[in-house]
Amino acid sequence: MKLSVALGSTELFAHLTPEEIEFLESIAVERDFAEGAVLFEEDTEAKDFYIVVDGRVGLELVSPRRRPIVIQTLGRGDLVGLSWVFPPYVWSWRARAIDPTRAIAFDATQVRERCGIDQNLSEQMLRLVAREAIRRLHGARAQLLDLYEFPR
Amino acid sequence: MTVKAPALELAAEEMRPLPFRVASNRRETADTVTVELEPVDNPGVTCAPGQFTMVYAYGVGEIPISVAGYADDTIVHTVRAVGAVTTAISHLDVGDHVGVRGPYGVGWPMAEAAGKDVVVAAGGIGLAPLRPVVMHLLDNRDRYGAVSLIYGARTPDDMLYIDELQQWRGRFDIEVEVTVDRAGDDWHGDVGLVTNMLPRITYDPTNSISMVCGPEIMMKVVARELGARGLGPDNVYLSMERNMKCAIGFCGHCQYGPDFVCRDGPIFSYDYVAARMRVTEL
Amino acid sequence: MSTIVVDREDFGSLIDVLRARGFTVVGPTVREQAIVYAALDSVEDLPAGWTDEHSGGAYRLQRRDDEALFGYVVGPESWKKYLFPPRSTLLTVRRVDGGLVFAEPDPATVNYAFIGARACELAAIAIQDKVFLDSGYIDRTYQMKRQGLFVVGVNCAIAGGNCFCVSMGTGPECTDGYDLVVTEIVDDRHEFVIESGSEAGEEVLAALPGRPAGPTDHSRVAAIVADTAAHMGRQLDTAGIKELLYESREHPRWDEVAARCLACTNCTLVCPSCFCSTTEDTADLDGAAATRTRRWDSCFTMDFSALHGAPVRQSTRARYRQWMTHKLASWYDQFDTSGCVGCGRCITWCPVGIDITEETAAIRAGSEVPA
Repeated sequence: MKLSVALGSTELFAHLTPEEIEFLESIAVERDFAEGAVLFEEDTEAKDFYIVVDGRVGLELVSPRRRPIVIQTLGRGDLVGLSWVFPPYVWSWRARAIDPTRAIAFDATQVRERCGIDQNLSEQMLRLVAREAIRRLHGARAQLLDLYEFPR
Repeated sequence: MTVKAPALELAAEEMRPLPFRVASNRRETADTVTVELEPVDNPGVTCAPGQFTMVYAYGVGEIPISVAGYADDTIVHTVRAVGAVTTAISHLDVGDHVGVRGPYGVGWPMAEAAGKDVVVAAGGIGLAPLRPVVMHLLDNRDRYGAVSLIYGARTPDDMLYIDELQQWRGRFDIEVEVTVDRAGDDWHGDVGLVTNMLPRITYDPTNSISMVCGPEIMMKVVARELGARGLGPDNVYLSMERNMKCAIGFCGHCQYGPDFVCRDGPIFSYDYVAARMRVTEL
Repeated sequence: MSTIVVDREDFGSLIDVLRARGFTVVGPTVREQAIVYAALDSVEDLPAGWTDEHSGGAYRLQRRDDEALFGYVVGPESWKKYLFPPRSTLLTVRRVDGGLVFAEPDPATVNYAFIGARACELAAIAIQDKVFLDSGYIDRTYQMKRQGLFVVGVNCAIAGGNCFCVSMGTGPECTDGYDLVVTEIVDDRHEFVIESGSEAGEEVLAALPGRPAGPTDHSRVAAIVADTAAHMGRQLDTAGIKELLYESREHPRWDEVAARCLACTNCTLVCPSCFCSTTEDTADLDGAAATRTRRWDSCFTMDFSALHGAPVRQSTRARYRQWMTHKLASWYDQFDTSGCVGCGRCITWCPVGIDITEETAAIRAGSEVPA
């Protein structure tokens, strides 16, 4: 399957070599999730990360005393899962499909191994994760500011 | 010739409201209501999206409220009860009378938007001044390119115009993305910053216009993200807000740097106000 | 336009002639140890033999060693109290059969004659004309008072300790905006050179006893004005001032002045050009009628910028910055003129003696905007 077609013009592919794209395509697996299905559970090993093709995924905090709280939703083109980059490779949140969702799964272990010997791929994957982490940090800060409330 | 004061032509009564009657009212959120006002023995007023009127509550006072809709001769206002006048207005019953002056102010750039993609971005009660924009865009749909609305609110309970949002979401000629900061488990929609919705919608940044309304910090965040995505500050329009007493440039309250928001605004392009938005307490 | 010279003994006829023509004559008079503007019945009401001393936060009347009628500068009041009254009724509302009936009362038709308006004050009136008559809408109250107005200007023969009209280009000589202008000369003779500046002024002038002015009289007037101009108490460098203040919104001087400023609003109330107002609503106890009243407001109050229940400009720093930046900078964008006429009232009546000329100089000193 052509990843670039499935994912549109995701910036990731702009700076990869044909061999690197071929590698990612070789390990990419398209998966469909029914509404409510779990992509990964919190506190479990970060095996696969995803890029959403269609549908929406919620990141949830699971608490024993209350129903799961969605802290962010991710949609088309968004990266689902950041914790596979650094040890201990454990998910912090649960990812669950809010709508019927199609996503492309990547085996994190294989990507990490390849990154160990491919400096450009390593840099591009880190950039992807860093850009996403910064965006989510900014978003979280803005949410803390109570963006839609007038100052009193 | 004898010196005496000349016989005077008195100027128009600019401070005199027209009587209006509450035709309907509807609770939007815990502290916000939408009232529809109809003129009483007068031809009513003609509004454009982005303008505001001064609404007078008997014996309490007068405040500026953005026009949230207009049809025939009626005006729709959405009012959040934060002060004496807004509280009085939110307690009005159908049939009660108020005064209305206006409309005033420079509206949204609807003419400039013709032929372009239009990104409407609202935060919280900021959807109210953009509601007539959406209605105008939908009523004149073939004049515009892709049309989208992104709307952020603190919680699902803080969202305005739930029924209309639902209707608009069902249409194929406008993309609507709604998101909240915090949600209970009965919320099936998106959670996260309103700017997270920008990748979901269709617009050509080189031929788009964006109209943004919400608290200043929300507008700033949205304008900044639009800029990062190639929609320049000269094509991003914001609705500014300051205290107003007269709406006609006399009372001085609404000054924002050199501008009187009542007369020179409330709609300004982001490139025009960006430097001022970095100054605290201006 | 003509010029005549009137003896002190005949000067009272100016007031008599104006009163006879139906004007309510108002002008300077001494009340409670200050020179204020009030109705004048005759020339005897003018502050003969008084002068005033001005410094930062201080004002005091002193006897002169002559009986000059205009031998002082400006008092705590300005003419705006007549043209733009401190309180006026904007609107009356009656409840009739469940409905509301609105009316703007017709402003009282008073034809004022101002006696003794200084050049800086004429400039202030011209500024308020732009605000209330010439910016898109017309203020009815102001319009009524303004159109019926007859102005007798006075060229200042002394400069006060806080005067800087020369810096602002507004004085000390009256050049515009008067029907008559008076220059008082007190030496071996006590007389008044009176020049007309309008047809109405010409007509009043013709009714006054006096002799035609000659070249000597004109040169005496010029000498008096030049001497006053040479003795300004303060100066304010206006070069590039708009850009200077726009680019100095984060200048540390605002913190410094805010530490002294009491946000008492005195400067805005004594300022002859400040035009801000607010509204008050009252309802009769029987619920049948309500009134909206306009009254002077000040950008130094906390409520002034209240939005959604909280002021935008909470700090004194922000409020002082707003006032001074408006007065000296954004006024140019709004009305094509400075909002300051150099009368010095804000310095005199500041209880802690904050001096707008000193503050401007301090901001300029720490700035890169070239003078």
